[in-house]
Amino acid sequence: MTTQTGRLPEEILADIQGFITSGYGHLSYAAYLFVQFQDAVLARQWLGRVAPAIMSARSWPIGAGGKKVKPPVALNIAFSADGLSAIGLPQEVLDTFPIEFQEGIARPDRSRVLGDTEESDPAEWEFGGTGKPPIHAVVFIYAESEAGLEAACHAQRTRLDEAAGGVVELSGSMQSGHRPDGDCEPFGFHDGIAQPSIAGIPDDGVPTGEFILGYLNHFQIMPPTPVVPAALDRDRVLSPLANPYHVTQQVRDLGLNGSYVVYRKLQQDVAGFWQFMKREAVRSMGAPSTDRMIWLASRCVGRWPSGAPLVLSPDADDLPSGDRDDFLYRDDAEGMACPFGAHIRRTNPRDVIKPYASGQSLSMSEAHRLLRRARAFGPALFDPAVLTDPSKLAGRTLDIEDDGHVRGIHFFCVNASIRRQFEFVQQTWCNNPRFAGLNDNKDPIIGDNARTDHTSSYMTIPRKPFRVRTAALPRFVTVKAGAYLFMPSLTALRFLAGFRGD
Amino acid sequence: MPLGLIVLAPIRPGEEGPLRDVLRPIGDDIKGRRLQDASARPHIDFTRSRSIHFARLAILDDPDRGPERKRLLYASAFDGDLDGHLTELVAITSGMDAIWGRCEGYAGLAGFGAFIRARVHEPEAFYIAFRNGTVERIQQSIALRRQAEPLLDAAAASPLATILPALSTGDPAWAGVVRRAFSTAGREIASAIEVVIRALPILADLPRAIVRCGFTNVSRGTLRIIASLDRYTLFRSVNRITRNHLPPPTSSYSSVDLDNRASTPVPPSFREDVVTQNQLTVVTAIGAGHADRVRAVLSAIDSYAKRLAPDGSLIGISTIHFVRWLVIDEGRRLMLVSDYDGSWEAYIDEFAELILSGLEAIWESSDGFPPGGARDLPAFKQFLRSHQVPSEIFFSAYPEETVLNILNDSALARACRDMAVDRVGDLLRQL
Repeated sequence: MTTQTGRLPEEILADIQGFITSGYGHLSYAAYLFVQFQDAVLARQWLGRVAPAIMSARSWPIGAGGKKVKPPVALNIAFSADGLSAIGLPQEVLDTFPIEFQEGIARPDRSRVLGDTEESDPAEWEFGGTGKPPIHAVVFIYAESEAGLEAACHAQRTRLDEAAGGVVELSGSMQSGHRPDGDCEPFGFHDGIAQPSIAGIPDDGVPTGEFILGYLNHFQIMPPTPVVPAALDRDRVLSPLANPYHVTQQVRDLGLNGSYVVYRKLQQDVAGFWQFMKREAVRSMGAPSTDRMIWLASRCVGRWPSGAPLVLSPDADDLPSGDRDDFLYRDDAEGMACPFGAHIRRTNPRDVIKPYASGQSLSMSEAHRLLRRARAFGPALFDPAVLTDPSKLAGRTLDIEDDGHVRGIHFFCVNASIRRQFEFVQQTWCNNPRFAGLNDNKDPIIGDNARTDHTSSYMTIPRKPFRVRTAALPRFVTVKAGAYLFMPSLTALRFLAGFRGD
Repeated sequence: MPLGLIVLAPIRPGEEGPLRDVLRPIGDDIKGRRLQDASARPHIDFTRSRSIHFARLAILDDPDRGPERKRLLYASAFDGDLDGHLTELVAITSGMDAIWGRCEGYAGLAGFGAFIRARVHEPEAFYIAFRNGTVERIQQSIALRRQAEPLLDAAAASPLATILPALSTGDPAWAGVVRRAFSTAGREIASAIEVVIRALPILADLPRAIVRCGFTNVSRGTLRIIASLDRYTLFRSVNRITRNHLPPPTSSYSSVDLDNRASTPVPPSFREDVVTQNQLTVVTAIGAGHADRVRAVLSAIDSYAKRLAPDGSLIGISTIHFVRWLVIDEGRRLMLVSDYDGSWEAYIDEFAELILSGLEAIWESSDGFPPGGARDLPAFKQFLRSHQVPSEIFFSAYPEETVLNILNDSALARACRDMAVDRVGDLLRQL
């Protein structure tokens, strides 16, 4: 299955943006600047000043104590199709990007597929949506401390000021994210456990071409890549396109060592989620039992709040710590431990995609993996420790009420094909009411539940003697902003900064 | 067993536009946007049918008649016989002349049967997911599941004994008892015999195919299909002995157009991205002299589909309700007519994952097939998209059901009919 054998050489890693290969786990604080280019020449000059500071995937040096010296800040950048156009790339170059990237995330037909309707409709988004100024680029800033983040943001704002109006921040769009205590997402579940590793970084994993352009993908083929006519790359910054089918076309590879990034600001109705679990506990048990609430919520997620997968620990959240990503569903072909409709069983069905054999299922799963780079926003509504240690409740029932603050996650994912990876997972696995032969079930966490133009959707939990089915699910997660972005290689950034369109 | 009908009727010059104007509102109506003045317009009220599984109407090019010429495709799958189907089609259509009258050779309602019969095209390969599934039976099992759902919701812990009678299908109690008596050993033996009897004609298929398509084509085509079946132990051994494997890829690059805007596929018809079921019509030009090669491959698929394929699975693909391949225009063109589940993208991915060498064998003789084969998935998808014809009308009798849902629902219906308490219990755990 693996196509990239051995470690990618340092000079290649030095060309790939670090965001693609690292979640910067040691940098707890993040800020995202959403900017717009007002003037192509000024924007390119700005990019020329920003580019040298962009963090690559190069290995971190080993310090005196034999330990890796991790950088205290990290900076990365990605562009939308509008942004590439505004910085001066001609239409003939934009045409070589995938259609979904060219069109952007906020088109009505795309919104239908993604479930971005009603309260998640791009017309309702805080920024970047329909009728709002388009996002041209996102600057990702990570730092170890709040003070460090503030300093790094200040430095970037200075860069923007230097651009003399050529690059402006979208008003009200500045976003900050953090790595929450215990890595719990706002609903209270340990998150970010299942991450695919990339072949070659440093060793085995999902084929490199699933996440980085210029390498063999799951189908043993190079992913399609955007190109620039050789005449437009007068300084010969980019590599010639190696594709033998297109050698006569005299083009250079703009995509090599780059990737695509999907952004979604996902606001979570934490109180709504737990109040729903409470109502369901009352409905099925006659009383608001905290155990039952946690049991139900865990069935929806597919893991216990600690992150222990249900398939390894179906009855209680008591799995000894260890690798919580090392499991398959083959012993749970009926979904008795982890329901088919559970969030993690939809987003990565591993070895059981009904009705296929395990080899095919694993292969199909591999063709639809995403590298997630999410950060939380907003204050935690409650201490998630009460979910793993109910003694902290001191006998009270879990009763989580809203405090009026907004919270959720900034969801980012990296993939070589937005259509085949992110959109597929969203459409065919999460929002599909017939996934795995289910009836009227959608992803209980991120699904587009409670759509007025669809029949109600539920969460079905296989059980003896009969399955348990929740009441119709409300929508717990609302999309508040989004973008389809291209994250170029450092070489491509130099090309963009030095581009002369005339 | 459901039957299929495929009709190609040349449209009279100048009538393409008016015909589209008639068909589109009918298609929109099936999609749920009820028309205001439906009674005044020509209409085909497929929803009144009790025997049509799927039906579509599409307008295809007719290059043999001229560059501007078009033809009307009508494709359906139905229960009963062709006479009954045509009678029903006439009964549910108001304004027959406004639709069919735009085609050459249509001479009014009286001659409709003869008109259709003269334009029928027989598929080279025809797969039916549920060979014993009538519209009535499928809808009954859906209804039974719908009936069970609220019962289970209301009585989360009540014993099976109270639920089962509520689900019983109205047979007298003794009928269930009798069926149960035969439901174990006897049934298994009977079904084993049935499998053998169904498979046997494969021996006659082979010589027939050789006579039609030539020995070399048949042996080559059959081997290509068997190469697709490598994950089954029996076929894997055959493949190992005959060294029957896909040749290594010629290139690790995609031949897909660099310009994605220029190669933008036809816009998805019928919201094929968001509904449970979708349809696909693809017409490609077969390279000169290759028709028999294609026919041989298709006859191998046809034999497999008719003689060996279990309910709901064509060589492992479980998202197809009906699929037909036809060689039309005296061997010059190949047409795919498919009714499937899920999104277009997922469907093609599944094909590529499961029957790559079969896909290549079917389409490699067609103009525009990517040099890297179906393994060059971006280029293969572009090839299919650029030869896809959107439908004006697409109807399904059970539009919310996937093949997998039908398998589940009919298992429950069968268990209830047989009063197989344990089996019903197993199924209700997951419903």
